[in-house]
Amino acid sequence: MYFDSWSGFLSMEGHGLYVWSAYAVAAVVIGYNLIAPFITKRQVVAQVRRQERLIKRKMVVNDFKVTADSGEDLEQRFAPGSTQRKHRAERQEEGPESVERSAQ
Amino acid sequence: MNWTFFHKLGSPKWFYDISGKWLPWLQVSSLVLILVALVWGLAFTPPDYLQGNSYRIIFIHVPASFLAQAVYMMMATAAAVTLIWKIKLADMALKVMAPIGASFCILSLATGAIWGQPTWGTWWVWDARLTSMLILLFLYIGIIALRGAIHTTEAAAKACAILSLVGVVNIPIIKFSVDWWNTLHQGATLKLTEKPSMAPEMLWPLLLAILGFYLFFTLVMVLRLRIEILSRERKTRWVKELVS
Amino acid sequence: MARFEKTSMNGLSACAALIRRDLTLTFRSPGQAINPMAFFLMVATLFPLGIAPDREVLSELAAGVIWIAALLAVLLSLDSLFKSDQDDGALDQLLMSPHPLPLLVLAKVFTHWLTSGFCLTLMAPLLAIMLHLPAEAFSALMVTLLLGTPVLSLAGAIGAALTVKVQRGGVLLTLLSLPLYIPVLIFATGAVNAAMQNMPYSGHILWLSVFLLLGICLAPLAIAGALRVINE
Repeated sequence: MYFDSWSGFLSMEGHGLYVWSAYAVAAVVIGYNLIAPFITKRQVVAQVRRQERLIKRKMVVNDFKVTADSGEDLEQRFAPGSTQRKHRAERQEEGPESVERSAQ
Repeated sequence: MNWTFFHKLGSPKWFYDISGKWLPWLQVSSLVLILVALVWGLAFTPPDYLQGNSYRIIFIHVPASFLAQAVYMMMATAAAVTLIWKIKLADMALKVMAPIGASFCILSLATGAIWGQPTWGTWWVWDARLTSMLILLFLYIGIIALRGAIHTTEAAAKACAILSLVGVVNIPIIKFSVDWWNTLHQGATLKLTEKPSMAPEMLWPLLLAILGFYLFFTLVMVLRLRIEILSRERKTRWVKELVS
Repeated sequence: MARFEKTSMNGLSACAALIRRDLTLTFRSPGQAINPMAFFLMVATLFPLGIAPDREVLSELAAGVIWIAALLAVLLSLDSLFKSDQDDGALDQLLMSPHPLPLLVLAKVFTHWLTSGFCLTLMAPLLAIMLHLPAEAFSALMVTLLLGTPVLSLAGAIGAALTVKVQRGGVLLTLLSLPLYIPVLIFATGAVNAAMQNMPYSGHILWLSVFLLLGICLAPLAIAGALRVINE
């Protein structure tokens, strides 16, 4: 041990403020690096669980989120002969000009 | 030559499993080494005959500066691996290393400024080494910002890889020109006097601290890498089973 | 379309066509070229207003002020280098063309330099007079601008290519490019300051030429790689 007393160790012969503030910054950086991964981990785990829950309730199809409360709406939408499909078929019959017009 | 180990290393699941076994060793060794080195350096080494006790900042300043530079080189290596072999794990490493390297760069600059006050009488000197470290921080910030701005993971990965490689080509040029500029502007002003080979009782804790900081960097990188793996592989069955 | 051209055009004539097209576009909407020049003039005007109108102070700062203003003006004009082509689909044509992409990119950067860096160089004597740059440093200023601004265009184009799909990527482009500009700034202002003290500055000029050669050889590869990666 180089210093004879506790107060001598803290004051560092006048340089205490500099030395200890430098070590404080180091503690902050080390602390940040230790804590940050755990915060991200919690977010990622929550994300995976939410995704699982949504899939179980049939609300997510290939990352596409449906806002309805139940899966009924979804089944309806993708059922054969649904309104959407009819619409598309009609458009194709009418030819490309009408599609362009409706896009505008 | 047998390359299977190389491709195995690129498998996120394999890495996740094996790195779980490294974690406890890394945690204990890095924290114990840093603690021993810093207590040794703070309390047991004699003061410097020129700088007094303020030189004790060296035990964090030098390891942080070493890491800040080494991490950028590792990022450039990971970038090359990403672009050549298209290994997903290399890109994940590239992503997680950037904030760690930037944090050590900030630590190096902050401790350097604090050390400058008692030694040079000023917080900041436009010294060549300080200026290059500041520019290195800018390079880190650029990579982090680019990653945040591109939303497709694939495109962000390759864009950051290209930027890291451009940066690594530029580092020697920047370093050289800053050195040149410094000699032009201020000849014999404040400069960290060239260390006359350090006394062994100071060198040993410094070497321990450097080793400890490197192990700590490995620890944080592995921690972040594991989380990044979970996040990117969240559609696979093994992650779903692991989490729930 | 690209297939047809392969029989009738080689890489160099494709470059010439690209340069002609970009120049025509610039002449049709000259604001793109004039705005950076106005910016250059205005930034240089702010310095005497912000610091002091003294002749001695200004002549000492002149080299740095002119160079920093030129650097920022080039950055400002880089934002639209690939973005306007991305918007109207010309960039996709460029990527599909059978000619080597680095060569085409080099042609684009050359046109960009003609409409930004070169114009700024022509304007620089005016600013030098306004800022009381000593007469013996004029030639050094012109030579460094002629050698240095192409490097700014080349290095900045890497950032422009990386941020081509980023919405409001101007600030990001600045963040990516400025660290690469530092060596050019150091040697260019060093040369002008040396000339002001009647010292030889050929060393600085040689180093700037080295940067230019390095930029011409390496930057097109990085730009082409970045454009391909971002548009995959």
